[in-house]
Amino acid sequence: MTPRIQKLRQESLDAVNRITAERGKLVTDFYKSGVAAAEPVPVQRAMCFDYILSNKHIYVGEGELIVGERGPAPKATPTYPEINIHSEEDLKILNDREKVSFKSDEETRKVYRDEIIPFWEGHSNRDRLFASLPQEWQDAYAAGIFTEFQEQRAPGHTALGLKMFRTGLLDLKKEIAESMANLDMVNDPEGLDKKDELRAMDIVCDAMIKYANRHADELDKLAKAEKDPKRKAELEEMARICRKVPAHAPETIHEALQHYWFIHLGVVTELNPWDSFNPGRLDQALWPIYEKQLAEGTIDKETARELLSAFWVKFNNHPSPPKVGVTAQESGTYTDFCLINVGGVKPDGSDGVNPMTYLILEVIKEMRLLQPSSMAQVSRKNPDKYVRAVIDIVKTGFGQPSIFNTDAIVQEMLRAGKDIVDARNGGCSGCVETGAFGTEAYILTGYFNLPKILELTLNNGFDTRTGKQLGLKTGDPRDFKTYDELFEAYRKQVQHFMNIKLMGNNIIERIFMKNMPVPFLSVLIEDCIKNGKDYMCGGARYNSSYVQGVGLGSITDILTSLRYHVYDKKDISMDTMLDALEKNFEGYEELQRKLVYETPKFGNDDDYADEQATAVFDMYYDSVNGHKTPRGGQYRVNMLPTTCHVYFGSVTGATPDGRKSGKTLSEGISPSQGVDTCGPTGVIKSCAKIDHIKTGGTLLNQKFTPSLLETEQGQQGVLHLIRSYFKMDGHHIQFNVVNADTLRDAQKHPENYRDLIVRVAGYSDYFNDLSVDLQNEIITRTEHENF
Amino acid sequence: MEGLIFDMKRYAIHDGPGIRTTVFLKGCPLRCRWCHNPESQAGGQSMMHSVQKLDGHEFNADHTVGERITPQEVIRRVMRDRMFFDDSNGGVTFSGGEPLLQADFLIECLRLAKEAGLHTTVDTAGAVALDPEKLDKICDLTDLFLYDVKTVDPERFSTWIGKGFDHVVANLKHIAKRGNQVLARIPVIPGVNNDPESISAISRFLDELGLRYVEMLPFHRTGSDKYERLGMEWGMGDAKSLTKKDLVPLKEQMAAELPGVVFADDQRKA
Repeated sequence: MTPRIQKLRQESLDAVNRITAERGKLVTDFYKSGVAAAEPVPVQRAMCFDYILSNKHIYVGEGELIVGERGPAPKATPTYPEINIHSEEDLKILNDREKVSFKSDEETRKVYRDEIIPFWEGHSNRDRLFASLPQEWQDAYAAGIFTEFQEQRAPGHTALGLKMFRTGLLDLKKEIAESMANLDMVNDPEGLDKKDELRAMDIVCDAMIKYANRHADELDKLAKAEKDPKRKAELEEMARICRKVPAHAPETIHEALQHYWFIHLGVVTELNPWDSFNPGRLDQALWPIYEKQLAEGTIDKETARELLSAFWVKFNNHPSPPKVGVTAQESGTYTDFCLINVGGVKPDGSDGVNPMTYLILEVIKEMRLLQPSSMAQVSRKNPDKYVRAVIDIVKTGFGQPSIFNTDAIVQEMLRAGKDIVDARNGGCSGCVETGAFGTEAYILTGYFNLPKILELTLNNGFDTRTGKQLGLKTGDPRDFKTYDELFEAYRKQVQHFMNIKLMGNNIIERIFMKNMPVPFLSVLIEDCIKNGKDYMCGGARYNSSYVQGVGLGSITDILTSLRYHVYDKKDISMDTMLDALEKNFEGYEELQRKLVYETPKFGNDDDYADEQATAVFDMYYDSVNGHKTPRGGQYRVNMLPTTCHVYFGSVTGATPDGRKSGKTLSEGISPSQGVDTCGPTGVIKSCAKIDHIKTGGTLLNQKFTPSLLETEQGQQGVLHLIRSYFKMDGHHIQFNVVNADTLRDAQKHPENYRDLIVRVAGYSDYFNDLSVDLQNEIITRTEHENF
Repeated sequence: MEGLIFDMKRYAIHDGPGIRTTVFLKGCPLRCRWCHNPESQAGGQSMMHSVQKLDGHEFNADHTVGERITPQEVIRRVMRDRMFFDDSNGGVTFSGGEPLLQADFLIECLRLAKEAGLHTTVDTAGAVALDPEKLDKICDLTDLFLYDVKTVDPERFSTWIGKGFDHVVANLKHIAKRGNQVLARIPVIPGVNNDPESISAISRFLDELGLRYVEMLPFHRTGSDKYERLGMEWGMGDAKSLTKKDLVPLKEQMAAELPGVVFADDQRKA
């Protein structure tokens, strides 16, 4: 790491996360002014985008190579009052809370108090959503049966495609003009909407080019004043680059990284999309440029490394925008889920690993930053040498990169009807979500609490926690004669709540379609320009919406326990079971022990238990898959929890797998914490029994202690675990390499572990930023030290 | 036919090449004082004390060690990880206890494993009087022997390990002569063989047999708590665990005294 990178990295680590009112005020000023009041919504939003980019502060840090900040300075985090409004109370809580705090000064709060809150109160998008969502949705939501992604952030969940690394915004402006010229304003009933959208797209391209030029001006100014001839030359070169990209296609590594970074800033300034934004297949995007430059002798590896490292720091400067209506306990994370992909295959399906892949892996290892997150695509066509280079980083124990199965990802996309080349150009973003990069709007809509619905089924649809009859009356479970009757009742309840969720999704999607178009994101994603349609409105080539199932391990163990004890062995009656659950196992300790220790569990390659996993998965899949969305997309399933399994556990009472009320549920498709006792091959075999190809992503977390990866055999073993899991179509696997004693010590002495990053679910986080519950969960996850 | 096993471990990566499942056969004629599987020694089923903890409650969970099982069932369970073996050139390892003690059962397991196309490893200390025909059969069905060479001093053997030294030597000679692949495993134990003289003696012994493939394993105290749970006495007192680093001078010495020696752990790295 060069001294410059060391300095930039340290500055990024040390910068205080804070709220800036800059964007909030600019948006407010713009709408207050009424200049665009007569324009259609997309044009209004485009003009607002232009207004923000024309007026926001231009930041150039000392020694920076890649420029541009989302706020006025690193870690100064903008807000999005048109989506949701932070109350003064929110700002105070964010300021004061112990974990994942965002500081705000009096000046910021004053702007909020006097300008932002009064203007937006009552008609933010969040207000619109809650005004339109029916009571049954609100009740189920409040009971913790599902969550809603678009309640506080805009749909995003996408990554830039390769095309945009070869294209400038001026090229796009030509495409826009062409699309405009092809409009049939006589016969196309949507003609006007398309025209408005295309006008908006044109405005945002100009706005972004202007914004880049503002940076060029600032860099020129700094260059003039600069005494050090070396830095002066750098600043002049950076100014040249900012005048070139993103207007024109980049031709050097430096240009390509700056090009992407401006695009990134555009996307995260336009709205607060989930997962921020993502350069996608970065090694594939950069390699042709790097190869050409190496041949010309215009770059060397160390220069490329420094540029990439500077690029990495930029991501770390951007914590995820904080939520509103937060409580002190709900700490969330600073991670904004940008997931850079390396490896995988080329558009022609051949091995995509190249020298840039290895260089990026080296940068990931050196930088050791929370953001951006990184993932390695592993195809059967990729060499073992590459996988070993990935494991070499995994074993250092900061939770990156996570490892994905390219061959499964491609199959998942083909199954969903995508073109083979688009599929090969895709990957995963966010946590584990499959998408066709640059051509797909794939939107996550919320987590779905599978174990909670079983709890309701056992109570004939009644939620004891909220005291409401939320579900169907599927009958008193004491009357069920067979396990199949129980499962059928559960299936009905799942479909009932899924219908409520999908109905809510449709309302929300419609509200975003009407009110929150994103012309800038739209120009980046193919075929929005061609279709003259916004990203939000189905303009992209492919459109998918996901509902993410949570608690597969828990629900499998719960159903297995009921089937085993109540129906097969008949050693526990349903009546006794229900009483034990109601009493949270008080006075039923021996029964609880039996449920925990003498019951087949998911994650041990035990078919008796795993049958329930596949049955629940198939039933869940059937409840979601194929339903149409308002923008013309399709609903599909994902199996990932982020940290939601903790929240869902907190609203779920005691369960028949011996889990006490309020305790964490299992995460992803991983077995329940600590029940997998026959080693990683057992876990992998169990997890491979569900059909990953039918999903848009599954998440399997394996916790390994460092000792297991120290030896050559250990590393080679992990290589083969990955290869074998992927041969069985497993979608994703990640390794948490820490030992429990280290974590316990970190809990006691957080001050000594400020750099301790652990894999949480689909992402890594600082251990100290996690809640005590989540910390405890990570400690108790099975350690495979003995294998 | 049934045999007695006390454990099966999947994802065993230190008992032969690749990812393996190791089957532990119960019963051993030796009583190595450092044995970390003392529950494996008795030839029948035995009781082991254990406690289950749950939400602050403790439950007595004493359990029987040892399961009667057919060779067919052993291989059926082993085959569950077939996918992993294929990918890693792994297979099945029969360990113990002392697998040669149940020779007929072992032969049948090996035969079925070979039928299924698996790489087979036998991890033995060799202290069993065996009919040469049976040993030949085992050799025919075994791709790799992990053969314990603890000491070549008969007196030390009887003090620290037990009876059967002559069998250890005879069986290893027999196997080596047949040309089977053998990895000589030397558990480096304080007081038994972690001195230059012992290493020299072992080097000479291996040289005579033409064995060059060696692995040294450092003594560790891992098994000590099991002794209490089994009502047995730990025979190593306060002896400290050794680390890989402690083995370096011994390996260097052996490398000098046994030209051409290949240490398994170094080889894997290369």
